[in-house]
Amino acid sequence: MGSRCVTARITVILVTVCCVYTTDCYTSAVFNRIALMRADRGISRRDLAGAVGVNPQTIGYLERGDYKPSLELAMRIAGHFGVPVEMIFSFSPFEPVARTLMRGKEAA
Amino acid sequence: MGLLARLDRFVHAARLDVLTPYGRRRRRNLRWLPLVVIAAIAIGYGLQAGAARGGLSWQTGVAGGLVFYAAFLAANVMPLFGPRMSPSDGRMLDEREALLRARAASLSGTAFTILVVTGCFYFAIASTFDAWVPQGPLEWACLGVGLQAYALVLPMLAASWMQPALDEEEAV
Repeated sequence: MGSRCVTARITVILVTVCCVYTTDCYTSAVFNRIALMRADRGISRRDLAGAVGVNPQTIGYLERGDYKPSLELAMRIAGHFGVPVEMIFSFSPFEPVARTLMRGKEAA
Repeated sequence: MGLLARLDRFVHAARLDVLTPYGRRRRRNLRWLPLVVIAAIAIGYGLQAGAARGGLSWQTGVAGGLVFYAAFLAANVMPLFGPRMSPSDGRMLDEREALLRARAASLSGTAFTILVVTGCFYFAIASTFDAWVPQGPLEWACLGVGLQAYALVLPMLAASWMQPALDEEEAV
């Protein structure tokens, strides 16, 4: 009983340490429109990566929301597309393009 | 053709240039292979030590030695094909890779420290209980080699689990 208790405690400690190291619990999600902007301009991941000074894999992670960029990288990406940084990055999800188009059509 | 040129051609023909700092490698997350290496190091060491003390046959000891040194070789080569942890392939680390390296090194460093500290305490009390302790230069040297292999593999293992899976376009 005693050894089981110790084993359980050690397991809990190890799982906690792994969770602290592997998860990002203290920051909120950052949504972005990089893929949309890239498709709009006809730029490949590799081209964008070269322009902003990161590896192409990092652009893929950014687009999927698996990585949150530093302020410097976010501003470099926004600068590359020539738009304000808040047009590409947001703390809340962006409206789908189809809905924006529909709204624009209705307004017209 | 000179000797150096011949050696260059051989290296290129044998595709060994993939092991050079400027070789182009296909990198991916290695989540399970390092665990096999870690297990092989421990098993190979155990078989070697068991044979050296006469508990196992010498053939088993030789097999253990082969497993041990093959795993050590794999531990040295494997980081070339896992997540990038140092500037390589003619490119510097970008901010995401530097962050990944920092987090992986932190986690693996903690794990390695716990392993070594636990080992030290174990060696301190093992003789009291007549438990196994490395004996002789060979066993101690192999223990050091094994720890070196763990130090090489653990950061890559941690980085492979921290980094989300790559898609086909990215795994270059």
